[in-house]
Amino acid sequence: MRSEQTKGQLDLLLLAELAHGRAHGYALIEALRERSGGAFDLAEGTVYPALHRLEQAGAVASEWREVAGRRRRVYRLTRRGRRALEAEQRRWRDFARAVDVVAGVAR
Amino acid sequence: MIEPFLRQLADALPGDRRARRRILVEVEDHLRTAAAEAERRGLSRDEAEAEAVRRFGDVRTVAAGFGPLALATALRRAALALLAALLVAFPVAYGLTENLLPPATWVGDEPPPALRWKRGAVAFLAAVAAAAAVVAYVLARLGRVRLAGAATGCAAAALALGAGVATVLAVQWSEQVPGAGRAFLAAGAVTAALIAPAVALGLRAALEGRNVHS
Repeated sequence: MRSEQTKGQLDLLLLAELAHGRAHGYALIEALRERSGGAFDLAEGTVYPALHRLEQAGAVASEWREVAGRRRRVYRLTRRGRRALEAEQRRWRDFARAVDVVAGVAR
Repeated sequence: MIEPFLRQLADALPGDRRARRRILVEVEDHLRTAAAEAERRGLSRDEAEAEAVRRFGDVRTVAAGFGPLALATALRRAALALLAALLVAFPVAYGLTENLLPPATWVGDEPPPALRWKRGAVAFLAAVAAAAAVVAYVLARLGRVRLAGAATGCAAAALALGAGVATVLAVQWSEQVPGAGRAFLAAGAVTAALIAPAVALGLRAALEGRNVHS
């Protein structure tokens, strides 16, 4: 899938991935790639501004961990983030349903 | 490959030193993890690092992604500093002028209307600046940086206008009351010193805004 297509849904994808548990940026990107069967091949540098924005909005929280002598920022979903994820999921369901109907994909 | 990329990113990133440092540490961890993974797949170290950097994206694009965040932070700080300065500066300036102004003999114990409305206008404009700063803070918190920037601009305009009216008021008052100039000078100096850090933060936010929109 083209990265412009995933960019618009980046918040939903990141929040959904963090709902599975804490993760650092690289692990999130890898998990999204793996879970989507390679369809979500994100421009990796765009993920960090999105994570920082979600953190400023209170949807995710983060902390430093020491891993193999390196400092690593690990993110987790907050309660507000969980509510934001539910809202994003509703928005996506409505959008996908509408596209399906218009595109003649819906059965 | 990773070191030069990080150096270029350090030069291009917006925001304060602490924010930039955090981003650089995070990006370095990402690139080194990605390169280690690529090496495990059989690439040489140079190839692995080159692939990690390529996959991460262009330095300018990555740095630009952080622009709105840096601007939102700068606007929040400027708005908070202005609000705090106004809450302190206004009572201090009022207290200083009340205590230091020499007694005046006005007709009916009240200053003439030309001075009274200017005094009211200064209080009104300070209140407008404070309200605009609150709005700017809330909007910046919500990530609405353009609107937050506009609200900060309103706060700055109200502040500048208030300072202008206060200066005219001080000059006209001093013309009618001998010795009043010193009291106004003291109040003005203290107010300016209290508001100066907020003005500096506002200029910083304007600079961040220029980076985001250019």
